[in-house]
Amino acid sequence: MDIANKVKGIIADSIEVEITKIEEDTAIGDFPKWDSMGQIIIISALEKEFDFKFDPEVIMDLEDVGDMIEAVEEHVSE
Amino acid sequence: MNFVSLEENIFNFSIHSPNKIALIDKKKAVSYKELYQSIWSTKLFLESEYGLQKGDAVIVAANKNLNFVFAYFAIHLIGAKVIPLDEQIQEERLAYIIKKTKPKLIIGLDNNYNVKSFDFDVIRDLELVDFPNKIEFPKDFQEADILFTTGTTGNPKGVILTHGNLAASAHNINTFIGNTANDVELLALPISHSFGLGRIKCVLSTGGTIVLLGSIVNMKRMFRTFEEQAITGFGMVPASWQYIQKMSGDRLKDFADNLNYIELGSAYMSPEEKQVLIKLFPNTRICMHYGLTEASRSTFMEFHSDINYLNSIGKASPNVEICIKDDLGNIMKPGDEGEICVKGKHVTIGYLANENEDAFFDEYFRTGDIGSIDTDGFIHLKGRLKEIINVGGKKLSPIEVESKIHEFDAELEAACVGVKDPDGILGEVVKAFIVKNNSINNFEAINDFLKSKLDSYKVPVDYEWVIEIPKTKSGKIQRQKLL
Repeated sequence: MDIANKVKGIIADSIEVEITKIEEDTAIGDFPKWDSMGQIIIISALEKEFDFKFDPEVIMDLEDVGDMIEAVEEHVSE
Repeated sequence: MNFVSLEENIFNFSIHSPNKIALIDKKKAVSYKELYQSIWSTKLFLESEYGLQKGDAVIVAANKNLNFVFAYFAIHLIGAKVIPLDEQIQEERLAYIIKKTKPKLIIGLDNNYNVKSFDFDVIRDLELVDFPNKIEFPKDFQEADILFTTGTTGNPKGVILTHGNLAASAHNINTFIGNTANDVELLALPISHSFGLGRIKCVLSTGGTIVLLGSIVNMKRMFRTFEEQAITGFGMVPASWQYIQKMSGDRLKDFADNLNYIELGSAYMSPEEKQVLIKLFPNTRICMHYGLTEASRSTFMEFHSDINYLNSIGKASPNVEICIKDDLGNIMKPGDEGEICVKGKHVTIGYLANENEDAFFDEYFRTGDIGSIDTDGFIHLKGRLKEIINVGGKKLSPIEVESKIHEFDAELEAACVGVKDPDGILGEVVKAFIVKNNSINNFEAINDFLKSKLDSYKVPVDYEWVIEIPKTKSGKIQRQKLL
């Protein structure tokens, strides 16, 4: 599975929606469960799955699914 | 203090400073004059289209938008009662509240119970009319709001607040915090609870400006708003502060010079965390309250001036009396532990349907919290009589979760308690203790079931098998013994 789909799957699981509803421009606040708690759950799940820690400067920029995919890809390719 | 309703206060600002900005929602700014025109237009619409009258009850989805604010005050001007409910309210809870309150109208929420309803857009599209220069304002003892809180039995309990209660709360809070008409406050708290809803009333009744923000989840947007609107006041629960720190480190301190006040409340915050805020915001009044829906903001502390008492919940708020009583209602000596009891004009007149058993000792409201007062008047919170769990400021009764576990499998015996959040964000989270039997050998199915039935903050984060649930002789669960 490519990284983009894996990230989408993790986000979908974290906020308890179908993966088909997750697009690259799906953003914070689009689903009731994607609130501040949801955001923390997603970030922790991504950090755990891909085994790295986001830089605090980067965390603030994670506003939508596309941002998250990009940030993970950067780390994985390092 | 003489009674002046919030509606009259806001009316006065609409006359004396009509062009001052009262509310900002996204790109739209509303002046005090426009605010009252909108309130008045909404009032006329609700009367003519829906025949709303004095004494009626209206459920309003607590959606943080301008139209909510217009509807809220319009309903009060009619003499009707507002029942603000979380938009994400569960079907079962909504059904219960509709049954209990028999609303004439629901704004902003769909329902299947034959109650007339419409969406907020209808208010947005109303044509503005001028308001008369003489208005009949709500009276002191008239019922204004019914707020639903977590009852100890698992069913929500309706707390009745009069216009006198609301005016007294706003006055007490503003006196302590020191809000002025020059303040611009960012409101990111939910307004289905007393804390967030109270902030709107506090700011508007001092002639200040309130900026509505959906939530703090999008940190970049939040900081942008701080900058663009030159925010001078901010309210948050300890879990929001945890989130802000996790997401952005100390960045909030960039705005420290401009921040006159921060109000905190709704959950525990450790003295160490308070020290962090003191250092980051050396010139900001950092005010933390302790309060309940029934007795909003009963105590206050200011971190800088009360730096030697950071382990307390502060002193009684202005115009509020607090004492510690034993189970017979006798006042106890300083230092002795008993039930924290509150008296003041802000205290509820009681619950819906007179469910007031054990709620009061004469004029004192019984908080159900255990604590003591020291000789300097600082109050120390020790625990709870009522076994309510506080997840990041959202409260729930363990009975609600236990009854759902029972619904999953009637054979299962369970007890839930609040335990320290292992991630350190929410303060407390739910843990379920379940008696092991032959029908079930893992928690997964239970957890899936609970996820589908409960708000996510109510779902246990931890489970443990036990041999038996500790109980009193009369069969009452002793949850404290599981801790």
